[in-house]
Amino acid sequence: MGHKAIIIRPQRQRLQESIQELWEYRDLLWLLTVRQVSVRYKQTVIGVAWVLLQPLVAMAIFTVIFGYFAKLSTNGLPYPVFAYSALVMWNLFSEGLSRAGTSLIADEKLITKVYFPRLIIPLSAVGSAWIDFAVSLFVLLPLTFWYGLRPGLSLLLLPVAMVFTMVLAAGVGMMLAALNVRYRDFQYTIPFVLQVWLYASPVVYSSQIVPEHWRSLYYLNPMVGLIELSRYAVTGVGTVDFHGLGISAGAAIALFALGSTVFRWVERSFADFI
Amino acid sequence: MEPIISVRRLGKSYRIRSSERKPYRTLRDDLADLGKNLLQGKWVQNNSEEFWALKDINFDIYPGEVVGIVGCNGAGKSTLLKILSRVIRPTTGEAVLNGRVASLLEVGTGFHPELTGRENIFMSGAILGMKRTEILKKFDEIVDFAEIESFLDTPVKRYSSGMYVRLAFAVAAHLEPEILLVDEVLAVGDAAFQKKCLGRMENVATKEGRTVLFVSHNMTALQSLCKRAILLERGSIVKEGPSNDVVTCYLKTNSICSQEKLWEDTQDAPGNDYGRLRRICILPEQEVDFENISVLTPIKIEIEYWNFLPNVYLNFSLVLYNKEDICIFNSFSEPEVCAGGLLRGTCYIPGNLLNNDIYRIRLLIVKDSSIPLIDQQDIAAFEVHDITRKGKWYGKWIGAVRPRLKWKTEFIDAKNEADKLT
Repeated sequence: MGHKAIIIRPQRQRLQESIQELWEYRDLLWLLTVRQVSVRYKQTVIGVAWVLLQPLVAMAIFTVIFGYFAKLSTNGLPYPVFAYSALVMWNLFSEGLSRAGTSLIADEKLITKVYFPRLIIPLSAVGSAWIDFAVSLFVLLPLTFWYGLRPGLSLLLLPVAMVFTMVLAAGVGMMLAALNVRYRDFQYTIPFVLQVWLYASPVVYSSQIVPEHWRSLYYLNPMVGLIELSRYAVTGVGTVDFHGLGISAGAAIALFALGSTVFRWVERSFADFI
Repeated sequence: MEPIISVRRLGKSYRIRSSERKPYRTLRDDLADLGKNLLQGKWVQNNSEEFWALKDINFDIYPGEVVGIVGCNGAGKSTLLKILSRVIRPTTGEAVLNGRVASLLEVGTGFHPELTGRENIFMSGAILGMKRTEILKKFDEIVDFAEIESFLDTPVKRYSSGMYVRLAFAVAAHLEPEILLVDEVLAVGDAAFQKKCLGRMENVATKEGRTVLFVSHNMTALQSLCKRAILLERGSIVKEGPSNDVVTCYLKTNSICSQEKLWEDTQDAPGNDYGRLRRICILPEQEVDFENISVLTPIKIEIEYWNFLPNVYLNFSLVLYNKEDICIFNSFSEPEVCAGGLLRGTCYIPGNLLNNDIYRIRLLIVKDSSIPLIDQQDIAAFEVHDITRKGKWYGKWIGAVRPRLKWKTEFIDAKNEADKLT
């Protein structure tokens, strides 16, 4: 590597070059991901336990309010499992999105001082959310077994849901990160967008309560299909609506394509505007 | 030979808001303008103007050359280095770099205060473009150079600032790029550290034969390290050639030495009803070399003064301050009975007295050796330049003054203490 000439031009890089370069910098992607995770829990007493505490508390609240008081239908699943299986995937998405969304301005110093593919920054932010996700699985799986559920081969679908969720988080995150560099307004929209998105996704309720004729439209929110998939994967109860899942997966990929296009479009002027 | 860096018609422009903008605009105005522009088929609002930070830059650098870039603040030096290190994109033109590039635009890029020294070595190395295996291979060397063995597993936020800078530079110094871009890193750290940095830079350049592009305000270091230099002024190259010539040219055009201030209109001149200044001028004593004032140059300061008070005892008093606001001296002329009219006082400062620095002059005109009639702070300033030094040390010579004093070294006894010890 490195012995071919570097040509600096005003024009954007070609897509192929960008991907090639990203691959060359994979060491850095890994190191930045590890850095974010280790920095996050340095000088905390319970450290990584925070990763578990937050969804567990959310699960407890949802169970009491929506499961116990409101008695929402869960297709026969115990409410804690119903909520937690969705929350794990939702947190991967929301953490990935919000960390990626603010990642560029947080690493402003790096951007103005040294060159590397800028895409590494939001990607490593999503990567750091993935590590939290992996940790939370250590509670999710025992929980489902404790409630007497025996997921079998359906567990193999969990990585699929995970990959698509990360693709979605990266796509929206990249877009917000890029726009954040220009207009700092976007960082304030992130919590707001996530709050709306949470209730637009079947985290606390089941997607069954959405009327049939709205269903296709509903699946355009990629998190709908992905949460359903992950719920099926860890419980093995029910079936997968492949039509809906297809719409959701397609929407996730479309958002990723849009996000990466916006990112590449704005990328070259990052150091000028940040 | 093929150039390792070749730059053609490189330019960088920024949009700046034009001053015609109203002090504040409402959203309604903005939307109306946007609509109007859209109708005319223009997307970008037209109330910004272009500012060219760099324009039409062309140069070639050959393998193994060490080239300095000089210019005053805002000349575009850092912009050029940032483009070459790919932090920002040019607006026009292109640059071809035939080799691995490492840029040192700042010491400690990629350091995170929460991470330990060990973690930061890997982090910073990776950000600067080193592979993991490369860092592992150089790890001990880096730790050695930085002298921080016992603190390797301490978060760097607990480091002293000296340790921090040493570690940061150690990582950068062990990069093995074909092209090294360095921006003012020598401005940080203490004298010993600067010396180490410069020593390392010299090694990189002369022994390892790498190509170095070096931006600095330290002219002494620049002249000693670089054979060739490029002078930038307002975004364009104005001179290129042997570094001594370029540095001289830069100092001549951009320094405030040999300065003359002349107030032709007496009404506007500094002063009051007792008298007014007409002219102050700082120049070398031998006017033949009207060049720069260096630490060797004897200087004279001429003051011309309209005296409106005839037949009083007057004297000039001069106070000199350096850049740190330290008073260097206060010197005054003999009080003399002066007639009304134009007076001239000249103060002679010998060579080999002032250190290289920028000096401010405070001028007083005193009546009867006790009553200041005029007291002007910052009436003029001048710069004393360093001379090209031989040897390994190019940093700032310490001390408010730099006198050449008489020294004597004597040989006292052939049988010394060392013999007894062996």
